[in-house]
Amino acid sequence: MIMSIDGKVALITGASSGIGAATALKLAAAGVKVTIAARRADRLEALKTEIVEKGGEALALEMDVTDMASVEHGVKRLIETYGSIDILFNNAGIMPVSEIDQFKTGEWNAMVDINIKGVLNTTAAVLPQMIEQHSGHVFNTSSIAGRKVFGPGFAVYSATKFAVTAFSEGLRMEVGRKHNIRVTCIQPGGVTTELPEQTTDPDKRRQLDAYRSQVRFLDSSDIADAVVFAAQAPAHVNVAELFILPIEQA
Amino acid sequence: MFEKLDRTVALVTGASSGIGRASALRLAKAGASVGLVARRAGRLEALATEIREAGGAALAIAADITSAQEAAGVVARTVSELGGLDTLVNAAGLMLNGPSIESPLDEWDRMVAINLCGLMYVTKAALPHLVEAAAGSPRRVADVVNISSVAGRFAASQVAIYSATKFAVTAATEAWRQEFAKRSVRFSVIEPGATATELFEQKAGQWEGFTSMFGEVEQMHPEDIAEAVAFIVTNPRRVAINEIVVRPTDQA
Ligand SMILES: NC(=O)c1ccc[n+]([C@@H]2O[C@H](COP(=O)([O-])OP(=O)(O)OC[C@H]3O[C@@H](n4cnc5c(N)ncnc54)[C@H](OP(=O)(O)O)[C@@H]3O)[C@@H](O)[C@H]2O)c1
Repeated sequence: MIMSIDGKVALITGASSGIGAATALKLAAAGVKVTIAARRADRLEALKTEIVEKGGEALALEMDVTDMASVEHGVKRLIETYGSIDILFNNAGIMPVSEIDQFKTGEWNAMVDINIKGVLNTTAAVLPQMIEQHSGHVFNTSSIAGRKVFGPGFAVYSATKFAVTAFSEGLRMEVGRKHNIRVTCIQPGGVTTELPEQTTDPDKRRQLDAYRSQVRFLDSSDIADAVVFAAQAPAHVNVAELFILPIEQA
Repeated sequence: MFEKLDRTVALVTGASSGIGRASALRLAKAGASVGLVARRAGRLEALATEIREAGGAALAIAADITSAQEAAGVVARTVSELGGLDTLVNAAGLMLNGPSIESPLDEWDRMVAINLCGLMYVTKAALPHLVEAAAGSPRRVADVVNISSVAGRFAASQVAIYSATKFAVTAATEAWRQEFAKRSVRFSVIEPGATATELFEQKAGQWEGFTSMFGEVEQMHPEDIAEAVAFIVTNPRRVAINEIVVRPTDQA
C-alpha cells in the first residue's frame, strides 16, 4: 500500500547539491512543499526556480546546520510559512578522507560538527513541532561507512556515520510509539555527488576517483526514490533502515 | 524509474500464507509469472486461481522444502514450466518461541529445518539459474530477497533459536551479496517487525510474550512487507537495496 504525500511539508538540509537536491526534486514532484536548506544561497535559488518551473512549491533557506541560531531561525521561518512540518531529511554531510597520522584535526572537527551535531541541531529545532502535531518523519543519512569501517582514511568519517546510525535507532525507540514520529536511517554506498571533492589529501583523492571509475555509482535520484518509498509507507509502517548500494559495490 | 516485471519469473516460498502470499500477489501484479511454494496445496491452488483471474500467471508447487530433494524439484519445475528464474523470494518460515528448558528440542529442529535449511536448499538450487538470468535476460539482473526478521538483528530472551536462524539468514545474504555482486545477482534481506500473519499462531502464548516486551502495537500487514519486496525487485539494475528493516511505528 502506498500513501499519498501530496501537500506535506519537508525540510531538507544539504539541499544545494547531490542527494539533498535530488530528493527535493522528487518530493516536490510528489506534491510536497519542500524547504531547501544549505549554505550556498545561489544554488538554492537555482533549485527553487527549477522546482517552481516544474509546478512545485519550494522555500529556500540559507542555513548552516552547525549554527544552532541559524537552524532555529530557519525552522521558525518554515513554520511561519507552512504552519507544519511532516518530513525532516537530515542529509547535510561532508567526507574529507585522510589518515589519522596526517592530523587534519580541522577536518575531523568539521565532520563532527556537520555530520553529527548538525543532525542533532536540526532534529532539536524540528521535533517540538512534530511532537505537537503527534506526527512526523525524520530521515537521517548515514552511510555504508556507518555499518563498517573501510580501510585507512575513513576512521573519523565512519565514526560520525556510526553515530548517525546509533542516534537514529535511539531516536526511533523514543519517539515512535510515544509521539507517532517515524525515523528512517538511509545507508547509501557510492553515489555520484560532490562528496569526494572535500578530500584534500591528493593520494586519497586519486583513490576515490579511481574507485568511482571502476564501479558505476548510484545516481542521487536513486536515493531520492528510496526516501520517497519510505515516506509513502502507511503511518503504522516505519522503514527503519534502508541499505542501498551500487550493484557492483562489494 | 521503477521497472515492470513482465516476462520475468519469480519463485516465492511460503506462498500459502502471510508475507509470502502477499509477495507473490504483488510480484504478479508487477507482471511476473510466479511459482508458488508451500506444503498446503489447496491454498496454493486458490492463490494461483486468484492471480490468473487478475490476468497474471502462476504455478502452484506443493512441496516441503526442508527436503533438499523437494527444494531442488521446486526450482526445476519453475524453470521448466515457467521458462526460467529471475527472482527468488524466500519467505517460508516458522517461529516457536518459549522458555528453553520447557520447549521440546523438536521445535528448535523444525525452525532450523525451514528457516535456515529450507532457504539454503532452495537458494542452492536456484543460483545457477539466477546467474544465467542475470547474464542473459533483457533486464540483465536477478534477485534473491530473503525474509529475515528484526530478530535477525537483535536477540531476546526466549527467542534463542528463532533469532539464531534469522541471524544466519542475514549473514548468508550479506556473504552471497558480496559473492554475486559482479554477476548482477542482487541479494537483499528484509527484516520485518511484527506483522499480522499466522506466524504467531504456530504456538500458543507467543503474541503475549511479544506484547510483554513491546506493549500492544498496531502490527504491519503482509502487504506492507510485499511493498518492500516489490521496491527491491523493480529498482533499476544499478540499484541494489541490500537491507530493509521495516517495523511497526509503535514497536520500539
Ligand atoms: N509475521 C511476523 O511478525 C514476522 C516478522 C519477521 C519475520 N517474519 C518472517 O516472515 C516469513 C513469513 O512468515 P509469515 O509471517 O508470513 O508467517 P505464516 O503466515 O505462518 O507463513 C509461513 C509460510 O511458510 C510456509 N512453510 C513453513 N514450513 C514450510 C515447509 N517445510 N515447506 C514449505 N513451506 C513452508 C507456510 O506454508 P505451509 O504451512 O503451507 O507449508 C507458510 O506459507 C518467515 O520467514 C518469518 O520468520 C515474520
